[in-house]
Formats: sequence, C-alpha cells, structure tokens
Amino acid sequence: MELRRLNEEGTRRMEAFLDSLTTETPEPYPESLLTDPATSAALEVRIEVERRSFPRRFELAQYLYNRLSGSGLREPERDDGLWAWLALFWFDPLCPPGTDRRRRPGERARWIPEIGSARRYYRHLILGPYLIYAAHSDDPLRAMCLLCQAVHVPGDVVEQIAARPQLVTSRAVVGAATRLYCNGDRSLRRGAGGKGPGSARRLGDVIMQFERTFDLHALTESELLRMLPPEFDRFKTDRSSGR
Amino acid sequence: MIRRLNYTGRRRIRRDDIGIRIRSDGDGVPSVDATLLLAGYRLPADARVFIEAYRQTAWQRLDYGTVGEIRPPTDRRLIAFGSAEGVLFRVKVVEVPGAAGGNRPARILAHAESIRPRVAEEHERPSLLPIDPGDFRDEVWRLEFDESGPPVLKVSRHLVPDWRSLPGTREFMTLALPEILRSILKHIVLVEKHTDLDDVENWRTQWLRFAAGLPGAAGAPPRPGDGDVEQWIDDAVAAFCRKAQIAGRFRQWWRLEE
Repeated sequence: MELRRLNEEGTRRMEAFLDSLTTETPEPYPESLLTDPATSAALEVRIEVERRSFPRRFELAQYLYNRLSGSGLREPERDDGLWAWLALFWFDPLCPPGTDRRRRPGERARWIPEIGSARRYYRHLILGPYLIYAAHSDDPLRAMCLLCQAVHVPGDVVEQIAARPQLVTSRAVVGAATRLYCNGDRSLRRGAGGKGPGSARRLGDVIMQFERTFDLHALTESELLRMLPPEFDRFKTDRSSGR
Repeated sequence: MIRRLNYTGRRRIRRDDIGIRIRSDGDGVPSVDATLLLAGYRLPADARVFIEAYRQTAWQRLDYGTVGEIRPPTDRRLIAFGSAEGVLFRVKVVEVPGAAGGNRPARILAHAESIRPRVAEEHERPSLLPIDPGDFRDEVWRLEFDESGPPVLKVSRHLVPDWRSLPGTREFMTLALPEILRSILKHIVLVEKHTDLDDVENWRTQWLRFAAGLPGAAGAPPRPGDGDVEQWIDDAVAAFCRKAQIAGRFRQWWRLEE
C-alpha cells in the first residue's frame, strides 16, 4: 500500500477508535482512514509499505529506515500524521489481543506521536525505534538493547535510556548498554529491567552522574564499562552480547 | 528525584556570554552562527570548545577550536537536522585528553545547557517561561519540567493553531498564570529544594528572584524546614496577582449571572 499521512480528521477518528477499545463497544478497525482523501493525504514522494509483522523493534526500524532514508521525504521524523498512519496500518501486530481477546492500546503517545515532547516522543511504537535506528545507523547492532524487544512492548530499558537525550545519542552509552544487557541471541538479559542493582535504571542514573564530569561523547564503550561501579559486574562477565 | 552532585568545579557559562543564532541558507539547511566570550572564566587556553545541537535522538557536535583560539568550523550547517525547529544547544569546554595524566577520560571544565537559539534579527531578552507548541490533543496546555532546563509552557498546536497567542489572552492570564507560577515555585523549592538567590545563571534562581522581587512579596524563600515554605509561595503568587491586576482583568471578561 502507498504510505500516506493522516490529517486532523483522520487523527481524530483514529483517536475515537482507540478510545472505543477500552469500552464495551469497541469500534471495528477503521481501514478506510488509510486511503480516504477526507482522512489522509498523499506524501510528496511515493513509498510502498507492506502489511506484515516484525519479530522485534529492530526489524521494524530497519524496514522503515531503508524506505524513508534517501526517499526524498523531508524530515519524516517531524511528520506526526505519517507516524499515526503507520501505527494504524500496522495496528494488528502493534496491539495484539490479550488472553481475554481484548486489545489494550495504552497511552495515546504510543499511536500518535508527541514529537515536541522530550518525555514522550520515543514512546511511539514506530517512531521510537525508527529514531533510535537512525541515530545509530552507522552500526545499528550497537543499539540492540533498545531494539530487541517485541514491537508492542518496548519495556524498561528503552524507557531508561531513550528518555535522556544525553544517553540515547551517545555511542558509548548505547553500546555499553547493549554489551551489558543483551545475550548472544540478542535477547535481553534477566535483571536488565526493574530497579535492582546493575539494572538499566541504575545505569541511567550512574551515567547521568558521569555526565556531570566527563565528556560522554569522547568516551569509548570500553572506557565507560571500566568506569562502572561493581554493581554492574554481574552483567560484565558474559561478553556474548551478539555484537 | 535524584540529586546530582558537582564535585569537579565545573563552571557554568553565563547565557550573556553565549550568542547562538540560526540562519537558513539557500539550500534550506539551517546553519549556526555563534559568539562565545570565555576570557573571563580562567580556563586553560588549550581546552577544547564544542557546541552541540540536539533534538530527540539527533545530535551534532561543532568543533569551535580552543579557549585560547576560538575558531568556528567552516561548515556550520546542521546536517543532522532537516530544520531548526525544536533544536537546542549546549556549549562544552573540555580538557585536553590526558591533561591530568593516566587514562582518565577528558573532563568537562565549563558548560551551558538547553540554550535556545535566536533566529537572525531576533534580539529580545529570553523569556523566563518559554512557550512551545505541544503535540497533545486532549489538553489545551501543559507545564513541562525537563531535567536539563527551565520549565516550558506547551500549548496544543492542534487545539490552538495560533499557539503563541494563548498565554497573552485575558482568560489564560487570569485563570492559568497564577497557578503556573505556584507550580513552578513548588517544584523549585519543595521538589528540588533550591533556595539559592546568588547563582543568577541558574533558571531556578531566576524564578526565585522574580518571585522575591515582586512588590509585597516576602523576600527570600525560607529553606525547607526553616519556615513555612507553602506560605511563602502563597504570598508570592498573591503578590504576582496584585502586580498583574489579575482580579481586575478577570472582572473585565467574567460576567456573573443575574
């Protein structure tokens, strides 16, 4: 299907659909919003996307990056209607039904991006992984700890790193986090989430303290790993992070 | 909130000593012009000077030479950004790697964070409360606190296409502004426990000085535990309302039912 962008009316009706899912009378999937000229508009360039599922955020981001970068589309990352359209297009894999067969879309920012909010933009289920992939496009595997999750469950590691621009833009920080928290099969290691010693939450706090003193962007992954306190040692022991 | 400590003597560069302007050349890619006055900070002449632009996950560093010889790069285009919308800047002065011997990473000697650029020809003083467009659709406005900078008033660009105009309306001024001031003062004094009035480059201090300087306000805020902080905040908000003539402005548009 040809990629388009939702307009104000399309976005409003998508919101109504999402809201209805939390009621006893959920609306049917509004397929027509994707193509109806009253609810969506064509892009300046023609880009084809397929309706498919993705095993992880990584493959989703890679798929879109390959289509959008170099397409001639100007600043796609600032186009909230485009990302809302994509979220609606891939709604089924992004919002699978639970055991009770109900779909729970969660907060609005997961579907319609809040591009101007530093605290919420990364929560969009498609724009979030796309931006991380694009920021580390020279070596996307570096960001595997932020992209190895299922597309509909970003999780705590993403929340702790992506919410802080100083961290998510740093090659050393993102690379070190992947080394710490990714297994050889590129799954997340037990203990990476949560609040415990050595968790991603603690890593974020410790590195934000480093950031007060050191030039993070001049550090290497190895230098940063050496600086971490002993609580991270249990994650340092296994180096088979898949990178 | 986790308090972060600065044991390193890292200096804060005054905003008055930094001028960052954005201009757009013919190709549409924004470009940076910066002036930096670092002579008064007693920094090592060989320390490196960087200006960093950032927005979301995009980041770009411009090498401005050294403290002793500020040398803007020839190419100052922000190629990591398609437009300057929402881009913020930080300035870092960093010691030469290995300056302290051994393998210690380079330390930051001086810095300034969350600098909003000015577009060319814009000369007005930066606002204490910046206003930005918000992407939310259910609320009209939000007050957002960021880890690295001052609070920002965000106005939904979907509900208020002319978002810059909302804070100046009499309805917003009378109904929202006093509570915004109260929220900011509570955040500074009660959450961040900041009561310093001397660090004039700190946005928290600037807000406290604004509140303490209002006619009829109670002066400097008490330290948490030393006095009734809530009362000090209430007094400051009341003083603001008197100065801004909130009650009179409210009566101008509010009509009691007969």
